[in-house]
Amino acid sequence: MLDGELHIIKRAVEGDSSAFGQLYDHYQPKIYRFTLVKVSHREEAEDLTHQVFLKALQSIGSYKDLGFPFSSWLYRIARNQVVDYYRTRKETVRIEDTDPDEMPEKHPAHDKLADKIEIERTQKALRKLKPEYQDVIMMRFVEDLPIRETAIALGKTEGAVKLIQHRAIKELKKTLTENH
Amino acid sequence: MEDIIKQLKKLQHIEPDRLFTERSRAALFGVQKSRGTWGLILRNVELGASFALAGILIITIFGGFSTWRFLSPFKLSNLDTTGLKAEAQAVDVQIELTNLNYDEIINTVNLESTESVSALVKNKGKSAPLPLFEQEEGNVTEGSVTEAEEISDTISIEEALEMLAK
Amino acid sequence: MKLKRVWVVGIFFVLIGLGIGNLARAEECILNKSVFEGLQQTGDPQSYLQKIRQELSLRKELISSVLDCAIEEASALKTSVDASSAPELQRIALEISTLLGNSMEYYKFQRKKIPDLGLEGSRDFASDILVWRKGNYIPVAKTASNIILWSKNQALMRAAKSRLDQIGGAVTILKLIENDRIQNKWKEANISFDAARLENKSAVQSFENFAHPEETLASIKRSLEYLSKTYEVLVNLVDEISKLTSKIQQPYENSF
Repeated sequence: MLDGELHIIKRAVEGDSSAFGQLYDHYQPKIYRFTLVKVSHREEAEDLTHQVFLKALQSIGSYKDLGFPFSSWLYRIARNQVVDYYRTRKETVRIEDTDPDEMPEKHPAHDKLADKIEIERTQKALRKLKPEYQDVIMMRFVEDLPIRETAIALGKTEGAVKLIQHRAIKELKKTLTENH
Repeated sequence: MEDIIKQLKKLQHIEPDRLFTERSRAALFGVQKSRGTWGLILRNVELGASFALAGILIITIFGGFSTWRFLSPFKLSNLDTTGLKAEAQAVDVQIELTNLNYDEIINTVNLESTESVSALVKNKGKSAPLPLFEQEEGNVTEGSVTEAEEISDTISIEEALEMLAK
Repeated sequence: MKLKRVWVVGIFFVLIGLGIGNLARAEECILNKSVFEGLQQTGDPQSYLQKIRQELSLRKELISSVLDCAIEEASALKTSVDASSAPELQRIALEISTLLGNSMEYYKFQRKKIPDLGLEGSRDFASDILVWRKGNYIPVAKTASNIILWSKNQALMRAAKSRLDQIGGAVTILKLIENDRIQNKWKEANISFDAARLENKSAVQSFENFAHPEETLASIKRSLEYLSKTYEVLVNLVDEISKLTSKIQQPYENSF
C-alpha cells in the first residue's frame, strides 16, 4: 500500500490526475510483473498493463472502497484483461499448454548473471502452474499483498487463499526441483 | 520454503521498460487531459442549460401558471414508491435465494448429519431438500408446522446414498 | 437385525418425503406403493436367507428411487438452464446443459446394473455413485444453479437502471436548488449501482474462467447486495424529494 494511499485515492476519484499518477507509479510495476507471468512476451505484458490502467482511469470516478481495497480492484481488472486477451487472440493455444522454453524472455539488465538465470527459471516454473496458483504466488509472495486484499482480488475467502498458497508453493517447489 | 520465497522475491527486480512507462503515462494522462477539455466544454453547456432551466422554473413557480401542476418536473406520481419498494423486495427475495443456495453449497460439502440439512430446510420454510433448484417466485411458502415436520424428515440424494453405502 | 430393519424402513419413509413440495420431484421420485406394501407384508422373516433377500430387494428399490430422483433433478436443472436467456452466458449454458445431459445418461446407465447387484455390491454401488456425484455432478449442478440465478438477476438490474434514469431527471432539475442531501444520496445510489454492475460483470468473468461455483455465487450475491443498497438509497431519496417538492408546491397551491 502506498503511504497516505486513502487520501491519494480520494483525490484521484475527484479527478486529480497527479494523484492517479502517483497510484500509477506505485502499482504499474506490480501489474506488469503480474501480467508478464501470464503472457508470452514482454510487449504483450506492456499492452495489457497499459489497458489495465486505462480501464482503471476510466472508472476511477465511480470507485469507492466498498470493501474493495484499491489494490484488489486493480488486480481484478488485470485478471479480467488477461482473460479478454486470451479470448480475443487469434491463436487458440492457451498459456498453460505452451512450453515455457518457447517463450524467450528478456529481462531488464541485471547485475548478477546468476540472479538473472534464477529469475528466468522461477518465471518458467510459475508459468507451468495453474492460473489460480500463479495469481496467489504473485500477489502474496512477490508483491506482498496482504491476505485480505488477495482474497478480495480473487473473490475468495481468506481461508481459501491460505490453502491455495500452501498448495501453490508446494507445486512450485516440485516444478523447480524437477527442472533443476 | 524460505528458499522458494527468497527466489520469488527476486522477481521484484523485474521492471517494465522505462520507455514503455513514459509512453504509457503520456498516453494515459494525455487522454485524461483531452477528456478534461471535453469535460470543460460539457460543463459550460451544462451551466448554460442550468441557467435556462432555472429561469423556466422561476417563471413557473412565481408566475402562477395553472399548468404548473401538470408540467412540473416535481410531479412524482410516476416515481411510484410502491413500485420501488416492490422492486426492492424482489431483490431481497433474490438475496434470500442466493443465501439458501450458498448455505446449501456449504452443507453439501460438509454433509455430516441429516440435521444440518433438515434444519436449514425447516428454517427457510422451503420444501426442497434439493435447494440446488431455485424456487419459482410464488411457490415459496412459509409452510405449516405439519409440513415443516414432514419436510424435516426428508434427506438429500447424497444422504440417501451415504445411508445405502453403509 | 431389528434395528437394521427399523433403519431401512426409516429410509423408506424419508424417501417418501422426497416427493413432498418440490417442483422438480415429478412422478419418478414418488416411491412405488406396491413396493411399500410388499415391505409391510414381510412380517417376521423365517430364515437368515429370507432376511438377506428382503434387504437386498429393498436396497435395490431404494437405490432405484434415488437414481430416479437424481435423473429428475438433473433433467429439471437442464430445462431451467436451457430456458435461461442471458446471451452473455449462452456458451457456458450450452456446455453445462450438455454436461447435465451426460449426467442423466450416466445415472441411466448405472441404473441398468441394479438388478445384478448383491448385498455387498449394492453398498459399493451406492458409494461409487456418491463419489461420482460429488466429484462430477455437484460442481456442474452448482454452476447450473448459478447460471439460472444470474439470468434472473438481469431483469432486476434492468429495473434498477430504469429507476435510476427515471429519478435522475428529477434530481438533475433539483440541482438548481441547493440541496446537498439529495445530491449526496443520488451520488450514493449511483455508486452502489456501479458496484452492483461491477460484481455482475465479475460473475460473468468467473463463469468464463470456470472458476469455483462458490466464487461465482459470491460475486452474484455481492451484486444483489449492492443492488439492495441502491434501492434502499433510492427509497430514501424519493422520500426526500417528495418532502422537498411538497414544501415548494404548498405555497403555490395556497395562493389560489
